[in-house]
Amino acid sequence: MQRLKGLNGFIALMLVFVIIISGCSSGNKDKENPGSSPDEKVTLRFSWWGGDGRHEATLAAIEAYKKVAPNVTIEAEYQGFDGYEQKVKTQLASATSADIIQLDVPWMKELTKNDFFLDLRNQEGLSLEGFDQDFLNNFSVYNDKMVALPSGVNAYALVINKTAADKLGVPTDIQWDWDTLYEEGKKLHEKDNSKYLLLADHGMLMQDFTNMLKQRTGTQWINEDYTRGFTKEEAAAALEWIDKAMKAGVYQPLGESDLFFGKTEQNPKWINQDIPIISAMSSTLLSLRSVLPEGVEVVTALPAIDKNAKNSAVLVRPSQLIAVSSKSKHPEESVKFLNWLMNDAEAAVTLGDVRSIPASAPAQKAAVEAGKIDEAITKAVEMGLKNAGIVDNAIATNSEVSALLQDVIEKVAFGKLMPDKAAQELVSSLDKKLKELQGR
Amino acid sequence: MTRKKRSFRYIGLIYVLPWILGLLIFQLYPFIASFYYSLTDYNMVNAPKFIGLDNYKQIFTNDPGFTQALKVTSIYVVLAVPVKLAFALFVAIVLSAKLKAINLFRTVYYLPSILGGSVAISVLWRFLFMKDGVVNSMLANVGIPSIDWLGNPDIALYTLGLLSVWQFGSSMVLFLAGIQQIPSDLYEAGSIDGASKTRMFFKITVPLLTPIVLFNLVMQMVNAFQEFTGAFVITSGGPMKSTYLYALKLYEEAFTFFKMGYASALSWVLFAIIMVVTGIIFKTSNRWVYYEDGGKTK
Repeated sequence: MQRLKGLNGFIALMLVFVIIISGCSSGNKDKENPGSSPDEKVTLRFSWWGGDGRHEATLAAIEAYKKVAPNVTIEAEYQGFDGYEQKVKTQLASATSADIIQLDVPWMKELTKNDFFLDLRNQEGLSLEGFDQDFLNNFSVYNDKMVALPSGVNAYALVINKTAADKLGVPTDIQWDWDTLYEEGKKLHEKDNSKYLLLADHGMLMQDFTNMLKQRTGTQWINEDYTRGFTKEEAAAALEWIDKAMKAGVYQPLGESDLFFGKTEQNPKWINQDIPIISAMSSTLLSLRSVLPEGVEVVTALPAIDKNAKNSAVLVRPSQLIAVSSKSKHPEESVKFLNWLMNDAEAAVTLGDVRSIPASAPAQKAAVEAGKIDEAITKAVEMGLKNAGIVDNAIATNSEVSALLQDVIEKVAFGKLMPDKAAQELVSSLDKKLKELQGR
Repeated sequence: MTRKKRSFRYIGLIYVLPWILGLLIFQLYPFIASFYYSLTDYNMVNAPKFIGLDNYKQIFTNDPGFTQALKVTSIYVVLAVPVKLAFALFVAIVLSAKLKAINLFRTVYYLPSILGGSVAISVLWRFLFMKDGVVNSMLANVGIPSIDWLGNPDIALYTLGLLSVWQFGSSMVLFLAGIQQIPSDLYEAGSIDGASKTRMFFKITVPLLTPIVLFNLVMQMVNAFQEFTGAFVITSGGPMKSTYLYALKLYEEAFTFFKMGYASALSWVLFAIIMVVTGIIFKTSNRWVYYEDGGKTK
């Protein structure tokens, strides 16, 4: 009898553990059965990346939404850009993603191979009228499904600390090309070797490199058919410019700037106004400015464009995309929230320009009228739209292709590989990788 | 065995059940599953496709990233582990002195080990060692030109090694315990025979501590091969892949490229490497580890 008791106790405890563990793994699902009754309490998760300004504004918008839909609670999951991609991809793959998810354009080709996202066409309660249809077709539609909406219109621009530039004698009213960047940068660094004209981490250097190629060739740098859009000589010429600019101190050395990859605004050289110019997406302007003292004037200009450019290569794209998970237990409520976030005047005024200029026309109008859109951002986006260049295809922004380019750019920037050798390495490694990707 | 004793046995099992479940679910299962995945092409989204040993072939014949990661990691292990142990031993000897408030000192010196592996400390490390950072401005005060601790591909790995050395606490505690176990009559005999302090250190302290050196060496080596946080947070493997540790390579394949099968294979290769190195250390330990009882209770 005694023995039986012991065994029973053991089995009972095992059961308790099993129950506890299965309880943990199923999370909150059971508590919130999907239903359509409007008064039912619903909890949605919304994940995004950004800086403090975006976090605060988005949290305020979520707070405001409580009045619009009192039965809906939105759980915010936010962080910086660094590591967000990995987190979201893992969550999507393991079906644990948030209901409403902020995404980046370069990830979409990979992510839309699967049914991760709700098709947003013909969803009740979601208005697409305010959006530019071409913009949607270019960036929101994959495999004939509209998987996400652009949160804002983002343009690549030069973000210029005008106050510092004036003090350092750097012109702010010219259209920059690669020669003027080099000349002005060299001059500035020669005058004072603690100063640099440009701040660029490896990501921005890669962007400068591909921009140079696109401007000179007039085509994509990687074509849709998995071939290169440039020759070895063209790559060598572009790398030569980077090599020359690095050596002349046009850019802050990569070893220093890369410590702040994905968090450029924390770079002390920018904070201390030793560097007046950063090439960046307009959506990051606010966080770049937030670290500068009150009264410092920040303006924007078109990015460097080659004198003989066949294409401006100016990148205009959604700041981010926002999608609804196909695994969401409450797709209707999620879509409603998305609609409010994108189109509603109150949301637009609360969010302002934290995701660059709103992509939906009514939201844009409301935000502009409320004086919530920064002038410098407006200018960057307007100039970008007027001069928009080639839209990158998905292969050109593939993560493995980027890793190869990063390798080569770094070797040149650190002066460890001569431009012609680097071009050779880039061409051969790219050709191999593109073939591999095509076969996958 | 009486009934009562038997039921006690179950009670014991129940007490350790959470641990056993943890082991089964979070260690044994992933361990076995990762071996299966290492034989597949798996991106977490589509079903794994069995491809035999292709991943392993690719690793050994066609992956420059693997070679680079292995090179960086080997340098890191070979440098950071011995320096860390030497430093831990040094501090342990200092702290074995009979001083007032010695326990306070011991606690304080252990603190970095509690903090060391965290992301916050890594961020702090970045601000200390960046070009315009605290360390360089201190050096400038004594007239030493600033060093690009993290931005120079030739130096960055050593700076990260320093972060690891700084987390010497756990090895130190073990050394400290070992030192206190050494019978004081040995030192008395030594001093009667006129041996100097240094001589006693090398002839008495070090030999009697070799079993602990062996333990620390193996544990720290295993940890160093898997080092991730510092390199990930501070340098992301840069500049120019000079801090591209094995764990970063693994992370990149798994969570940037989503090649889970390939990453699993990489982790098994790392496991094999650690096993081999551990084996070699144990094999050679016969020659340099001294057990007072002649190793009978090994």
